[in-house]
Amino acid sequence: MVGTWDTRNVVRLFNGVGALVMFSVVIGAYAIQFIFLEPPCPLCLLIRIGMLATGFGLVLNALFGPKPIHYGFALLGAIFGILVSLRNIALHIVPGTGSYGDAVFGFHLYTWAFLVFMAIVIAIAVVMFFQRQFDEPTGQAPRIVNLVAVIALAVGIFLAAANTFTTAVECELGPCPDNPTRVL
Amino acid sequence: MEPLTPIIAAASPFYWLPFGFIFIALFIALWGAVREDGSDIKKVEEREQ
Repeated sequence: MVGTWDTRNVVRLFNGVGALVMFSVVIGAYAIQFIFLEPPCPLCLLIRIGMLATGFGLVLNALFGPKPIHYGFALLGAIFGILVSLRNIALHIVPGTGSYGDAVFGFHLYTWAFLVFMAIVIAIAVVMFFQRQFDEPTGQAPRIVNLVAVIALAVGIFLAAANTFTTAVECELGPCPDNPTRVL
Repeated sequence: MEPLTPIIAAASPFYWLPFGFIFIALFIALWGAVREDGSDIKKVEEREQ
């Protein structure tokens, strides 16, 4: 069965891809943590929480169909991430105050995080223009829609579990070091 | 900005907690998705009847 490409299912697919984008940023942060041995700063950990929270809202849309409550959760996660990444940018904005970590394609990771959060807020705002996504389903969803949703859910579960573990190990259940030196 | 610093530092021992919450929330979503499997088709069939 091919499935029905109604507005609801197109938006579900979009949300699944959006969740994968948010999660892939955290995977990129992990790559930098373990390949280039750059442990995350405390604010970087908060940015990851924002990324996963935003991705969680989008995964719910992809799995169960678009609902305002899912978008609300994703937006709260993104706004939290914007606030934290802006603070991180502000800490290093004055010339001569240094930076945290190496730049990637010219920007530091917290600057990239700010841009990603802004992009997802704008994307959610635009997608919410399409009112018919909130209608009842008109037919079976195409297989790709469910597949992307399940993959995004699996990646999210893995990243949340991995971050719970690595954060607890890095901070040793005490205050997270401002300039951490150990990766794990 | 400065009043935030002690708050962020005081909360930092618990930074692993939100990750844990999201992990549990995603697991509940997984459980819900398994339970609701095929619900779209059922809704369409119910409406058609």
